[in-house]
Order: sequence, then structure tokens, then C-alpha cells
Amino acid sequence: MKDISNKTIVAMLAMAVVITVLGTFISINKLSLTNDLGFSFLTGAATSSTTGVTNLTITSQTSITNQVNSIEFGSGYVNASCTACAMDSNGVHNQTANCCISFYNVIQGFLLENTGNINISVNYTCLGNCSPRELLGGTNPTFQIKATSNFVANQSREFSAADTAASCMAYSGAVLGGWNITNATVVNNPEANYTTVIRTGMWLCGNLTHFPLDFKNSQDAGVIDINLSIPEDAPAGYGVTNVTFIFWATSAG
Amino acid sequence: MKYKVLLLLFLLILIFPKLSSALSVSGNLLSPIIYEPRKVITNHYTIGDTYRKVTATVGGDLVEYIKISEIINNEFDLSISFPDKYISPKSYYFSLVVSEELDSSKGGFSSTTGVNKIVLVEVYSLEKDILAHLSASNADRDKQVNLVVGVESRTYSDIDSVSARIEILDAGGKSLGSVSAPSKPLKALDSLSLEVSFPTLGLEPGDYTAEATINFDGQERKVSQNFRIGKMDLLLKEYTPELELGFSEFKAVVTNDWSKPLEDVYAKLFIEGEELLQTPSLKSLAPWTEGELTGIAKINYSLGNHPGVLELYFADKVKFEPINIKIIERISPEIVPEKLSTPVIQLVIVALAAMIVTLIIGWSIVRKRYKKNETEI
Repeated sequence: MKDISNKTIVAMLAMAVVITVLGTFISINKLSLTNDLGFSFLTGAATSSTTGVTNLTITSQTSITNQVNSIEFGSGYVNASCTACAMDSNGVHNQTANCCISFYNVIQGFLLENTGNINISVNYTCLGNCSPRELLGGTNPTFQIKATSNFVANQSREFSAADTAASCMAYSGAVLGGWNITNATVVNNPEANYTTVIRTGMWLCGNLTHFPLDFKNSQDAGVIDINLSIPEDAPAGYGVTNVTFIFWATSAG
Repeated sequence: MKYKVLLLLFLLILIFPKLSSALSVSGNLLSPIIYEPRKVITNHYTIGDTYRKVTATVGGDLVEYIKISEIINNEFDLSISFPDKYISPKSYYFSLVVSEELDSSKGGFSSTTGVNKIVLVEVYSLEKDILAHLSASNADRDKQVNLVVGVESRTYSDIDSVSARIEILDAGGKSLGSVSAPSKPLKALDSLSLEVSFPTLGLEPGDYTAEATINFDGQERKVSQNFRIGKMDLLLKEYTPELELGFSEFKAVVTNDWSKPLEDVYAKLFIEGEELLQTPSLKSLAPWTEGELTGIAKINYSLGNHPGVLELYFADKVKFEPINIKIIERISPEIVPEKLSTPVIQLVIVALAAMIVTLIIGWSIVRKRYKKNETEI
């Protein structure tokens, strides 16, 4: 294989700098932060003026953003002294006294955010090995999901500004109690409590007729964490080969 | 060679896009659609924010009358063509579903996003039906209350005659009189309003109810609405009942109980005869609206309840409201570190990355010159 010359590397580095700087400007411009940061671009100039009638229609934009679109626990095994290894995507690794060996300590769940201009509800469906038995095997495996307001979970990298209030509370006339997993056993306060994952999915916030996840940046995000309990007799070679969550934003059309 | 590989890896990290997923679908709001035979609707949609391929489908009720065009440049049309017949009356729902195609190459727990727009189609019946609402304006004493009955047709049939009789009740439910609005015809799926006024001569300021009985082609509907007869007055709605020792904020919410704006509205707070604060004045408080009067007072009283007076000033008048204030110990506020917003963090990271790259370039050049010099020596 032919060596890459220093000149080529320098040229590529220069290109990277240009791309990075340009990308940053474009992102900032897109995020409408130009005035805050003191940059401004001339986008049009009038050459003459006249009066006229303006018709204005604001379109409804249903939009969902997931800033963490995959969760990797890696590979490992259950400590011989334990009956199970429980892991959580919120950074709670080795919950059961150093029972999880060699797995990654995942510290971020799926970060969902309403980035449109209309209130939405959120649900998930699951594809692949969605049942605990399909996913992990062994005796009494668990594969669970929970939803938490990001104001509480405080996960970084929201697309817009960080939340300053609890989300999923915006339905006028009724409060659905925040992030409310449909099949949650904790009925009064399902937020932040785990519920078993099912293939057909569940509502996480709101439902088909109530859309309580606000589009306001101060209260528009939630974190979806997953929790696994791998039994000691889980067969080697089992594990996450194909699990895909589809997160749906539903709104009035 | 080793450092070249590291540099290449660094380049890839810089250039490679962040793998967050997002999906947006924009279009005019369709819901609710009122069903009419032969009605044709076309709505344009734009898909954004995604780098994956997307698919669009329609599900739910009435899908046999709905078509979606091919997605070209992330844009498509949804076309609805209702048939030339009346269908069973009820509320129908269909959904426009747009989703990202799955990326099967990813391991671990991966995710994609989808958007679901729910559209309501209301199908009315041929039987005559209406939706009615009543609005009753607040009025000053001895003036007229304007009463408007809004009627919307909920049928595909014309209604020959719609009329209304409106009764005025006091807070105890006692009838004080009634007025009638003349009848009007109402076309299918159309709307109209019936307007009358009621004189409040001799009625005291307070809360009242207007109750309308609407007759249409032998059928009847009832709707009601509360209203207020007011006078030039400023009402105290609520105030801060507890104040902390030291400097403490006091807030009073007041309502203009008059049909005209009240000028120069402010308050003075007295506790045990001593004036503690005068709030900044509101230049003008709009009719029937609430306003907030706030100020900071230095509290130096014993803990517990203390009688006080709130003096409300408005339009060269003053009103005295007795109040009770509880003095409590100071609660230290919890200091929460301010979060940096994501774009600022990204900007800082990118700036650092650019600095590192510049340093590497500089270092490479200096190293090259150094080597060259060594060779020459």
C-alpha cells in the first residue's frame, strides 16, 4: 500500500477545518441563533416598494428528533457469583453488586424531542427480538422501557434549548400525568417506572386523541431508557442482534 | 505512519455526520374536514430533517377515497375525492403515516422515527341538527347587555326557521326578564347569528346568567352564558398571604370591574398601620381584565399573623381592603448551576477541534522544516 504524503494529509486537514467551520455557520443559521451570537447574513434587499395584500398560511409541522438513536451495551457475561446482571441505559450499571462483567456503562437513553410547531403524542413500536425471551433467553429475563421528562432526566444534547419544565403536560383541559406508558402497572405516576417492552408498542406520552407533548422549547423533550436483566443461565451467543424501536410522533393532521 | 493513521481517524470523526435521527412532515392543517358529496381536497406535504429514505401511507377510515402521490424530492400530495353520495353519519378518522426506512446494518438497540397525522372527517346526517353557542357581553350598570346566539348547521338539509328566546337570571337563578330574536332561515352546512340586547336598568353590579332557548323547525336546543354587570371599581382577587423576614416580594392581583380602562392603578401595603411599600402603577388596566401589582418590602415583624390594609388607587379614587399577612422565616434558595445550551456547547467543541487541527498542521510544518534543517546540517 502506498503511503499517504504529508501534503495530502495537510490538504485533508485544511478541508476538514473548512467543512467544520462552514457546517457550524450553517447549523447556527438554521437554528436561528444568528442574532444571539452577533452574526447576521443579508438574505434579500429591496429595490423598490409598493403596497399589496399578503396571504399568510402557517403550515403545521409534525416533527420528532431523537438525538441518541442507538444504545449499545456491548458484550459481556454474568458474574459467576450472581443470579442475574441488571443494566440500565441511564448509567446505572452493575445494579446487582458487580454482576455485569465487561458490558459498557451506558449513560444516555433515547432523547426524544418535539421539534415541530404543533403539540404531539408519542408512542413506540418494536421490531426484531422484542420479547425478553427472544432477546436474552435463560430463566426470567427482563427487557423493560421507561419514559421520563428530560427536565427530570437532565440528559444533555437537546436539539433546542434545554427544558426548564416538565414535558408532556400540555393538553388543555386535562393533565395526563406526564409521560404515561399505557401498560404501566404504576397507574397514578407511571413516569420513570419500568414496563415490559412489547412488540406492538405502547403510548409513552398522550394518545390518539390527546397530544400533550408541547412544541415549546422549554418543555418539549423526554428520555426513553431501557433496562435489561440477563439471567445467569442465559445462553452465550444470545443477545442484541436486531432490536429496533420506532418512535412515532402523532398530531392532528 | 502511526500518527498518520491517527490523523485520518481524527479527520473521519470531524467530517462524519452526527447520527441523530429526526423526521418532520409539514403541510396545511386539514382536520376537521366536513364531509360533502363530490368534495375534492388536495394537500401538499414536505418531508424534512431525515437523511434516510421515507415511505408514506394512509390508514384508517375512508381510505378508499384517499390517494398519495409518489414522493419526489421529499414532497408529495394527498388527494381526497369524496363520492357522489351520502355516507353513514359519524366521526371518521384517517391517518397519514410517514416513516423512515429501517437501517438493518446497525447493532445494539437502534431506533428510527415516524410521523402520524390524524385527520377527522365529520359526516353529518340529512336530519336537521345544529350546534349553538351564546355570547353575552359584560356591561356597566344601566347599560345594554349584547347577546349573540351563534348557530351552525350540522345537517345536509336546509332549515326553514331558526329563532331564539333569551332569559336573564340572577345569581340565585331567579328570572329577571327575557328578550326574543327574530327567526331566520339557515342553509345546509351554513351558519348565522341572532343578535339582541337586554337593558340592565335597575340591576345591581354582580354576576348574571343568560339562558337561550333556540328553536329550529320544531326542535329545541338550550345554551347559557354568564356575564357581569359592573361599575367603576377595582376588585382585589388575591394577594401574597405570606411574607419572609428581610426583603420580600408582595404581589396583588386586581380586576377592573368596569367597561372602560382604569388609569393609574397602584397599591400601598400597610401592616399594623405602618406603610411598607407602594407598588409601581399600571398606566392603564383594560376593561374586565386582571392586573398584577408587585413590590418589595423590608419585613421586620415577629413571626405569625399580622392584620394589614391594602389601599387600592385607581382613577383618582382609593379603596381600602383589609388583609391578613403571615410573617415566616427566610427560606434559602437552592442555587442551581445554569445549563449551557446545546448549540453553545457544540460551538465550543467545534472551536476546540479547529484549534487542535490548526496546532497539528503547525506542528507538522515545524517538524518538516526541522527535519529539512537536520538533513542540510
